[in-house]
Amino acid sequence: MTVAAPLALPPAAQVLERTRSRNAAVVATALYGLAALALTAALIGAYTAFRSGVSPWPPAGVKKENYFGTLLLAASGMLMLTAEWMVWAVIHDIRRQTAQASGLAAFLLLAMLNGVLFTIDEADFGAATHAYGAIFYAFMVVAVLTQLAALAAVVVGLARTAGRQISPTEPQLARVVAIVLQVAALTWVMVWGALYAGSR
Amino acid sequence: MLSAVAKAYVVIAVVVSAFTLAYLNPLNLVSGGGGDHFGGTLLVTTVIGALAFAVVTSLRPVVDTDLEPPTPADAPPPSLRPVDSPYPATGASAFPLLAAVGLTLVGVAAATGAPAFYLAVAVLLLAGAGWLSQAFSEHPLVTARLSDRVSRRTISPFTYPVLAVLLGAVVALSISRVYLTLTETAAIVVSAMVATILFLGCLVLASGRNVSHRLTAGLAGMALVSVVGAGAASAARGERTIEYHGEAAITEQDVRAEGIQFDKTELVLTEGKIRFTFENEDPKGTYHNIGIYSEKEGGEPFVAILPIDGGGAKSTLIDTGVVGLEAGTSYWFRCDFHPGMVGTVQVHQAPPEEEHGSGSESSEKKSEKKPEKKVEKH
Amino acid sequence: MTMTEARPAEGATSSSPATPPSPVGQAVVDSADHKVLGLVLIGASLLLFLVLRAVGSALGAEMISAGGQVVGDNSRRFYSLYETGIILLWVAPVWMGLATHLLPLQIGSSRLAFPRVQALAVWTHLAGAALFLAGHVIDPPPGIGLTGREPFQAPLGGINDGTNLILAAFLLLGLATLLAAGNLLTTALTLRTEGMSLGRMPLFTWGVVAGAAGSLLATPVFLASSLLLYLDLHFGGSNLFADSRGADLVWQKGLWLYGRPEALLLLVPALGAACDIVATAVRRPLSAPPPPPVPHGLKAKLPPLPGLVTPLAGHVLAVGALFAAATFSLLAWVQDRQTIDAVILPTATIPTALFAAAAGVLVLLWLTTLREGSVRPTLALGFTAAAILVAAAAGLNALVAGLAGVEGSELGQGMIELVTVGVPTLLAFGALHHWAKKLFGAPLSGPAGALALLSSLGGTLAIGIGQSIAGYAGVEAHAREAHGDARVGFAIAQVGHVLLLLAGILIALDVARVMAARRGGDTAPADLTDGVTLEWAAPSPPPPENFTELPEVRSAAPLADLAAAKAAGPAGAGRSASKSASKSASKSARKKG
Repeated sequence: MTVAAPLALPPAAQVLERTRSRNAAVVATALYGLAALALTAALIGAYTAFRSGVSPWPPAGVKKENYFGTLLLAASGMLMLTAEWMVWAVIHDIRRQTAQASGLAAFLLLAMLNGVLFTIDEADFGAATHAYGAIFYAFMVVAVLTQLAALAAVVVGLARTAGRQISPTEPQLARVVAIVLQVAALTWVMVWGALYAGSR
Repeated sequence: MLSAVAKAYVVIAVVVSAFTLAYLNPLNLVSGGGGDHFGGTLLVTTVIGALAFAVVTSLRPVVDTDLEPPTPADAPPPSLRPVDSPYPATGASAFPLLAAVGLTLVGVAAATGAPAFYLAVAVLLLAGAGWLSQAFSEHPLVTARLSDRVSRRTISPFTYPVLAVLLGAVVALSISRVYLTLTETAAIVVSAMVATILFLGCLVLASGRNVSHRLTAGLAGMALVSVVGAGAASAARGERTIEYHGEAAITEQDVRAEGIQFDKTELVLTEGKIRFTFENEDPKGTYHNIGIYSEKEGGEPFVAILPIDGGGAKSTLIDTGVVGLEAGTSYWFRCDFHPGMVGTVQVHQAPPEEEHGSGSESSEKKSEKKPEKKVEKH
Repeated sequence: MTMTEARPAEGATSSSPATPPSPVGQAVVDSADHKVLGLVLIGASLLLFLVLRAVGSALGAEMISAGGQVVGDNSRRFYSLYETGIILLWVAPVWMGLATHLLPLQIGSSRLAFPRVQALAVWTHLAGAALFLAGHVIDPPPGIGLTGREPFQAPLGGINDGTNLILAAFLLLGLATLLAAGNLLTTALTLRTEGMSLGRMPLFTWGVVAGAAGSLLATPVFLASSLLLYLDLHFGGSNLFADSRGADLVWQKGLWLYGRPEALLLLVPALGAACDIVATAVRRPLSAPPPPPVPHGLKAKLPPLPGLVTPLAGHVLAVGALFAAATFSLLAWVQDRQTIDAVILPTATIPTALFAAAAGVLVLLWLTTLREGSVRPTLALGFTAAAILVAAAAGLNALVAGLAGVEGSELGQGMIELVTVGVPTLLAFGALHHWAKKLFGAPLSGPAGALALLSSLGGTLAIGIGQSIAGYAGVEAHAREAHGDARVGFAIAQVGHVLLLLAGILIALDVARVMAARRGGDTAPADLTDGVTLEWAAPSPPPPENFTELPEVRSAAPLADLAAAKAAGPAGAGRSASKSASKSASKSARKKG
């Protein structure tokens, strides 16, 4: 079953306007993504500030295992590749692969969310127990928020692709979704670098 | 190829890098040691940000990066020209305001606790879904016919069932509040009246006579408002004294301490036998207890569970009567080790035989700071 | 199975694309019109300015009374509300509102890049302001807000509900700033009208771009630190206030209002606005000073360095100065522990002094431009001159204090009132007067404006000088009482608070009068002699789509070019008009094809 061309062509001005809007969406998402990474960087700065002054670090009683953190790091890497695969599929008008990539990205995000929530659950300290606790929970909050935003972006991307609002002639929204996914993945990479790699 | 603006951002990145190196002083070229790592991290972020802006402002065809597009020598003088087909402005939307309300509720939840947070999440989800669906429907490919088809297939099937459930819940809750306030005799009378009205209404509808829709809707609306209003008034008035037959059941009350806070901000107790189960989930070395006092700070003590160490230890207290606590008065429960761990206590009326019994005990036990209660540790 | 749908006839309604409804008549609460949103923010900021000035007056009265009789035990509450609120609830949002309203007009766009995101930013800001105020009303905060040098002591009994609300307010206010900054920056980068390259953008737009870019890097740091503070305090901890270097650094660089870049970053859009005010007063772009005299022989050997060998366009120099100012404000993060003990803030570090140098370059440009052109005196120019005077007073004060080796830290508070609050406030009042026709549909009152100018200038100087006198007398910041010379200083400062309150009332009433008169719905056609940048080509007030006609943009002063073309002769202008019309028509035909 195929559906032919859209019912009515929009006026030229609206086409130009929509194209500029889509380009603006890419720029804006890149800027907001940069801000999100700057927020994570600020937490890393705070982490290093406390680490240099508090001994022992991490405080006594904090488990030093990094199994789940590294698993999530691998998932982040896969998420970055999947995001680029999705954009490639949109540009080449392979709708099946677009759906597959989006589905895989959603699955990876759910897995990462589950992993982060499990990590929070396994922590045997509170946000106020010590400075490490406050920073740890702040990292987890930021990671969860970026992953939820990425999940929402994937769902919206899928809906818009199904409605042909993302297409080879208008691929910018796919790039927007990809940027959000990259930010979520990079955020966990930065968190891992600080909490797991940096505390050895 | 970098645009002129991008080059300016690169210059900024170079300047900030120079300051960063001078600040961190990694090679100790300047006496006095290096700066802190927090500041260094922020400065490095600024350098990366400036370079990222340089990239963004060089993207083509996203951004027009020509600093000075050349004007042809034979170009006519500049003049006013009509704006080429004014673009339709973005339509009105209440969803940004709704999203802001949701964010406000998140802030309010910071002070009031979990219920406001769940409401905030619901509002934010509603705002997000509405906003995205509005943006989706404004795409030129979305025609009125498509919108109608999507709405009929995805939204309409759920609208009436959800509304019906909500309406049923409101009616049931309101009626239950009314019955909890009325005495037995009054409840029988009210039930008979409601049953009569329902019967007469159904009789009229079944008779086949032409009843105007407006009249039906008006009567139904009045009935709904009356039921909800009666329920609200009854809830405000409070519940009647519930007569117990035989021995009153033991009320269970579980409290947990974790992360230097209790898992509840309010305890609801009933006068009579009560079993407290208190669990300390904080790490070993962190002691907690529970005491019920008349004030948030200081005040007169009524009940105390002895302190227990962390690491998952449990303490169970069986009280023969919630000593001296009066229904309708505000009390506080708190941990004597951590002043931030506080909450409120609400006490409901006890059955008559229990009231009399606990009243005689209260005068003996009220003066004791550490009550002689049976404490069982698991 | 193939399903095709026939293309309907033109104008068919049942299958025609869904077009968004007209924004005319939108209620404020669901408006996506940047002009409505900007006015909401400006109006709310003005109201809050009056509230905060009243709070400041109460604090001033406390200092000159016999101690503890005006605000009593609420001094912590009042200090926190006034000092933190005057930056977060007045200086920041009034410039955000001006940028929201004016930036699309200046670049010839019909709207912002994401109007609904801006609406979210505006409502979130107002929600944050409401929580901030409510938090202070409900319970006293644990400290004096974000303006104390040291982190405030974590309260022993855990934080109260009011503090929870204040912490949540910080997160909301930061989020609103971030949303608005990204949106404004994206609009400037992507929605400029044809012919308006980045280099031809007006200087207020450049100021907003530089400020927004800085905010996108600085505000996340504030958000991160606020999140840490919230997580620690809300769950009953006090780890961020323990006596540790880490806690000090997080406070100093992430939370302390005068240690963060925003203290100076908020000045950048204000400086950009002042550039536009000066350019409009002389009806041409800014002029740069001529290059220094270089011997002819040497000149021939040097490459054509702009500014040294060849003349440098004032516009380009101004853009460079604005970006330099924004960059140097970000370098506030280099300051170390010793700096926050310094008396004079925020001029305590090398980057801050460099910021002053960049601002000095702009002042030099303004003076050069005013000297060379025929000036049309306006109230806005008066407010700009007042801002220069206040900045000069602050510089002189810093010099004297440095030479005298002053020890009282109240001097630092005086400098804050002059530089961080006073200058952007004066420029904000000037901007409201300058762009009144576009903001409110009609100019503001001249006599009321003149009175407000004198009152605000006098008030700012009085507060700054008064508190500095107290500082010279050795009074520490946030003291509860004063004696002798210090009391005289606080009395002068109290006069300043009252004068500023009066200025705010005058401006607010004038704005209300003009807005009420506008409800008739009349729109005046654009007067192209009002200015040189594109916003003056819009009717007053601008319609929902902003423009019905635009001049071709060939420089940073398109209306000045248009005026020059018209002065060249009606025949030349008529030929050019018909050529432009046919050029535009053929372009439309190409697009539709």
